[in-house]
Amino acid sequence: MNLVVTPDRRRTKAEEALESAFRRIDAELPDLEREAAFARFAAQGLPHRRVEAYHFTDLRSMLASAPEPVGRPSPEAARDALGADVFAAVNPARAVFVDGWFVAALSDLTGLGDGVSVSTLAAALTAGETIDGLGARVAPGTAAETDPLVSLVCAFFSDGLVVRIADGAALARPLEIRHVATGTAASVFVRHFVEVGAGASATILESHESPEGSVVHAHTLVEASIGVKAAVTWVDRQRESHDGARFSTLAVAIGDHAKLDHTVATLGAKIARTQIFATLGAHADLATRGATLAKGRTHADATLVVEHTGPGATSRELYKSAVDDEATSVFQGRITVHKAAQQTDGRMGAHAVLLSDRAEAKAKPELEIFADDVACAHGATVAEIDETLKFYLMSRGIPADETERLLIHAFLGEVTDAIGDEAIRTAIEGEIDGWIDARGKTA
Amino acid sequence: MLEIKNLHAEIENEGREILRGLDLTVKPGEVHAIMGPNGAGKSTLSHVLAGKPGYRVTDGSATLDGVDILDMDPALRAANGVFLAFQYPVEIPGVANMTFLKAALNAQRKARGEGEISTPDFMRLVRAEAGKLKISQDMLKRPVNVGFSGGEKKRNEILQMAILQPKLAILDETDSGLDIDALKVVSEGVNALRAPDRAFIVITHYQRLLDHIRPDVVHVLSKGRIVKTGGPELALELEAKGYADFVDAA
Repeated sequence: MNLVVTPDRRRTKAEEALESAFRRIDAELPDLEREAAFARFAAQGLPHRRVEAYHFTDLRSMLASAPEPVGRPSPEAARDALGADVFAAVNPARAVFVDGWFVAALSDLTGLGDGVSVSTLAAALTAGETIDGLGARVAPGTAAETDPLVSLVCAFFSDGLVVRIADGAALARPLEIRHVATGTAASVFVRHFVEVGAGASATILESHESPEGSVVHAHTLVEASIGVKAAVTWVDRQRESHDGARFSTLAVAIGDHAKLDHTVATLGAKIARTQIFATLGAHADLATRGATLAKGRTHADATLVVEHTGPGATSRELYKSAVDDEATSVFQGRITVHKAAQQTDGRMGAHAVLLSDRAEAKAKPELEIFADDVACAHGATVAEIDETLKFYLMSRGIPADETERLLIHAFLGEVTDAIGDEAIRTAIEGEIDGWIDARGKTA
Repeated sequence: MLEIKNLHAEIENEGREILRGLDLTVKPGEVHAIMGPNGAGKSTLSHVLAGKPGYRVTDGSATLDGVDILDMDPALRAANGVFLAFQYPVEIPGVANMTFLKAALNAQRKARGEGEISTPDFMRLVRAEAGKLKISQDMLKRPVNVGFSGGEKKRNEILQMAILQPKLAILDETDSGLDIDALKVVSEGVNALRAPDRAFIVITHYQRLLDHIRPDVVHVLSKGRIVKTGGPELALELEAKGYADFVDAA
């Protein structure tokens, strides 16, 4: 054990809990660079407001504690944890993780088509594969590498999925990576690798949930590479307990002429942070959209770091949040255009609607441009529900509460309407409408 | 039907009185035109009757069939039969016209204790009324008023009126921004809705609209009060002489 701990600072309870947990799991698992990852975390500790990337999401003060990681659930407990699947109508193949552990009995990985291989991370590593060989995107010098939440997953991961789609292959049906929880208080760390070959295509769904009232700190790291001319649709639905935390990172490299269409909907968690680190090759195309719905005294953060490294790529970021009660939404987006990335076309928008006087929304869009021939724009708005629109609808007989429902749905519609697959779109819209309908009712 | 007595209203944050003791009685089946110069309070009257936020009624009353409407929120007024055709209909991105129409109709039916309209009945109703107003299927599917021309927006207002079947329809400068053809379509739509149990208040600057929608009574509004009332001939007189005489008289 060669932990680097800054001596001049008392560690928080959460940091102490993480360190003691790491000492315990350390004995059971092969190294796999976990030591180095934990050292990276411990050197900085939990990020706080003086760390720029976490200025609005001060985890050092927000995270009062960190629950212990838990072991594999019993088959019965795992089965009981599995509620209705939000994507049931999509009829996807499924990899189910319960408390961070893959449960084969609940999964269905059939019918994925030729050229597609799926295994667990544990199986891949046991078979002698290396993290690097799996296509790690958390490489030295990258923004993801120094991120403390990323370091925690790299240090603690219990398991994950390894998905490989060969060049030119197509995922024959959507693959859902479903994360559920038994409800036992736990820190859960899952690490997935997705490699989409040149010219391949895939639809990947992520679903994250935990029972209301449970204290689950759910950490996920997805490292994905999308090959030349490949096309991927990715939809992530996050609905954690309002007493829990959700920390998600997608680190993705989008190859030349490749396309990623990504949507994330965040509806729960006391503290949520969704981060995307994306690099775009020449003529790559990234669209990422987010719908964040925050209520109670919760905090939801969406942070994007988009790097245009090759010429002629397009990126579209649209993040919308509806913030009620005393909740806070945060959007941070940085588009960096490297010197070689001429003819970059980047557009980023972050828009929040505040549904109560005490709700807050913070937005920090940034552009960092080193090329001279680019078209980049960003915009951010924070507003209340438009009284003019509300009056118009009410003047036709629609009551005030129904008017708000229609307008919130419409506001977030810009995010969901762009989901091409109807069954997936309907699933996400259903989640959002459920949240809107529950407004004002006690949880 | 509509009884307005000594109505005083001001703009909330400015404290500026716009309506200064306005009296107006509209009987079922009648069409009343309200004309007047800019700043007379025409739009304020329509907004106060529909319940738009931002105005404060400081005195007087307005009752519809004996029921005071000024204490009701806009939705309840609508359910009680008040309809305002907006001078500037707003665009509502993300809410399909059809969804909006159905939500409005069902909300009003619910408020009146009636059941929801069935989808086939609703579709039939909308298709029939939209056809009369030359409103395409595409306009019905698009978000409310988004990308509509000025004329299309006004036609869409009349479509809402036709579907909601109000007791009292207030048309706030519905002719503004309309070319002759659109004016005809809109006027025909309004005329088709004239009925013994329905009244109209038509607010306009110009006589032109009243060639198409023949009023029973014409009022001149100036400085927040009705200063002259007459028959359709009054509109012609105004057109010929302007408002100056009446404004001075006020």
